Amino acid sequence: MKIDVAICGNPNVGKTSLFNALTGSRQRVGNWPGVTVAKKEGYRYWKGHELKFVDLPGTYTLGAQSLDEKIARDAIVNGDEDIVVVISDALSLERGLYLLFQVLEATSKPVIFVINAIDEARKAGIVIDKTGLEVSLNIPVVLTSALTEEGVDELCDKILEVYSKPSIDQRKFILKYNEEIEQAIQKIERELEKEKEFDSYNKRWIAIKTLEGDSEVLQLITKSIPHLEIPEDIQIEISSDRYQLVSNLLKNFVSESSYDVWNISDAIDHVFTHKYIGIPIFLAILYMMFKITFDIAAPLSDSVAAFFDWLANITSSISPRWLASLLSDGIIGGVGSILVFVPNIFILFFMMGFLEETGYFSRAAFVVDRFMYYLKISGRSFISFILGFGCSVPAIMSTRVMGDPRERLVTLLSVPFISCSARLPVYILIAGALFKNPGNALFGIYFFSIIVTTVSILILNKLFFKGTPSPFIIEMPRYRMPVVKNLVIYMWNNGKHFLQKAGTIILVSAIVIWFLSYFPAGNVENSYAALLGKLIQPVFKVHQFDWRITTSLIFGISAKEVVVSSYATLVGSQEDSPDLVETLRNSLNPVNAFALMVFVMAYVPCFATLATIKSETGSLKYMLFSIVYTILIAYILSLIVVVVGRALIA
Amino acid sequence: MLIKLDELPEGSVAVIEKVDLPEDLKERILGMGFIPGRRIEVVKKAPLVDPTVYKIGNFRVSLRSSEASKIYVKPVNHIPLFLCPEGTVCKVNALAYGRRFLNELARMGLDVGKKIRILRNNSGKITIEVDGNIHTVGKGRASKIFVEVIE
Repeated sequence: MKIDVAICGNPNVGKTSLFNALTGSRQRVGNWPGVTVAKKEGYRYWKGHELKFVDLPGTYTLGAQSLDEKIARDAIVNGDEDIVVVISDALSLERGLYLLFQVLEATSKPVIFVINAIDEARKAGIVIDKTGLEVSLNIPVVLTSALTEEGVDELCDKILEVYSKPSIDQRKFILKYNEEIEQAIQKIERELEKEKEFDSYNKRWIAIKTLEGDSEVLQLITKSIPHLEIPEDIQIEISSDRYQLVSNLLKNFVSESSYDVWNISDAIDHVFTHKYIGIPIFLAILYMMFKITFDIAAPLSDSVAAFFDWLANITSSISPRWLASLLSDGIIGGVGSILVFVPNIFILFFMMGFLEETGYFSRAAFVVDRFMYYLKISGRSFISFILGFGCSVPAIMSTRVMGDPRERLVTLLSVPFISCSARLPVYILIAGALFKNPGNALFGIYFFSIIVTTVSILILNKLFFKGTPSPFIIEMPRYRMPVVKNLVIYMWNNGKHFLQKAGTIILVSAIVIWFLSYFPAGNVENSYAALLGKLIQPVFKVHQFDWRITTSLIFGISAKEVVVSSYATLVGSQEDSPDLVETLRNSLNPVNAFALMVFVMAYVPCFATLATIKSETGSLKYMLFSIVYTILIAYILSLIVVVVGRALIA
Repeated sequence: MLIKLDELPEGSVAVIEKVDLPEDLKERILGMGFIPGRRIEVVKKAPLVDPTVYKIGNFRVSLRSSEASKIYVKPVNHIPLFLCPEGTVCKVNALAYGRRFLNELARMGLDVGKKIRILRNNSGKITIEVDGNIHTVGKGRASKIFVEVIE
């Protein structure tokens, strides 16, 4: 039998860790229908049944403020799942219970309450009366630790038990509010009963949400019941009643901790968010992260490159000649030059996972928030921009956590200007060929990309919105030691997008490029590709880019790193061969070489990024906007570089 | 008597009195435990002063002053200067942030640890004695100086 289980909980309670402990590597990352927010599903076979888990986004309330909250609430209220598991943190049970009450109010599905991090709680001397809680709440309670995997099997057993005997479980506990609130609830319930369209709804929940001023629910019911009186301050009283009950439960069933588990966290925070050294530490961590990403990866990348060279050598002797060319120049050359970056990308995501799991990411956002405030966005978007240095795709996906759709859109459309790792090979090739000190040119282009991103944020804020700052409310979780297993899963879930990209988009574009450059004449100079490049070359007359460069730029739209491989194909040489560098030196000078770097930095994000923009915004409009916007900016900036550069030299 | 949450200095403890945010935001804030009657502690200001980490129960959350200024509190451990009756002597425990504000106070010789005597306190203006010098402080300023009454 197949049992669908929805997992919800507050952020930072170890929800993902427990999900990993439950499902191991049997995970699939897909999309939520319609909104295309990433949806994580995992499987476990347990005593002859297939348990399917859905990891809902972490929330504090079941409001309708952010996309995450809406997704979690829709799944809990209307989803197909058979059972809802609410996960809480043993060290901050208060908010966990608060969410649990809301879930119990909202859903008619069986609910299981999980108290996670029980190992940490025990160390802190906290004793939880599980049976007492079970009796009071009238639902199963399971104590787990994602770290030691304690209680994970018990949770699976409970799921089977609840599923097979739904009758014993519920009527679950339903929170009774004070007299005044109950009367207000009943009044709305009576109104709802008069309307046929609410027959299938949970009327009590709708009534409570109405009183809480929930915008989505209000919109739904004001059509049928236009004259609603909502007593003032009742929203606060509802929350207050919930918290009152939470504290009663805690008083009765949970003993106080014998020492403050926050001691160590606070000590670390004293340093990491320090008035004077907080920002330098943040910059140092960023620097170290990228240093490790590229230094550790270097030997690995070299061996990948060596392997593909060896492979291309073998295939180049096959007959017929066109097949040999397709295999070694097209496929192996094209895809190989991309796979070289796999080590960087995986190491980068490992480090990102490390910073996220330890809890430092929240501190980073906290420390630099003020800078972003001037740009009318929050420190939270800073994280997306940092991710953008790795790859625009996860960076754009990370904007989901933002409550404010305006901030999200501005961030999402500006992230592509951050130099992602795929642009690095293009920079390295050009800088290495034309600058005496390639490091300075590299630093220059990264610095430039940050400036352009900043300006873009300002432009978009002005263009789309009048730009009021969005609220920045972010939890500071306690610091935790990350678990390697979780880091590996995080790294794989994020990094594999790049592998898929190499396998699909890049493979196809490599073949297309080869085809265009081989036919009809069998040589590059008279190929279709050359024709195309020559056609648009006049646009870059001032830039003095030759047709090989303009052709490569066209192909670079599929993925930025393709600029290198297609240029190599067009020149008819290996990528790291001296010929390639020599050809570049002959066709460019330092000024228009830097202009080319700027153009590559800013113009059209790759296919994968465009596809992500479309899926995350749910509209073709923003994708098309992004294409036009980035080409325009790239063209203008590179033109400025050329003109100013020449003036300076002359 | 009510003070805006963002005016409290680090280390202050207060009780939440009123949450005056837009409905949707209010729901989230309430869900995090910012409920009237609860104790709140100012844990840490960011290096650039804004935002600030607050502690409720054992939950720590960072708020910008744009939001924190819409949450009203009653201080527990320090009280603002304007609440001190005439004739009392008090010790300055903490000062709210603001570069210009701090400079002004420094010119008066007012700093954390200093003792002040309240000479007069009538609606809006407070006359104080610091190191034998007499100054007059407006209510706005006096709400940002946190003191402990000694005698």
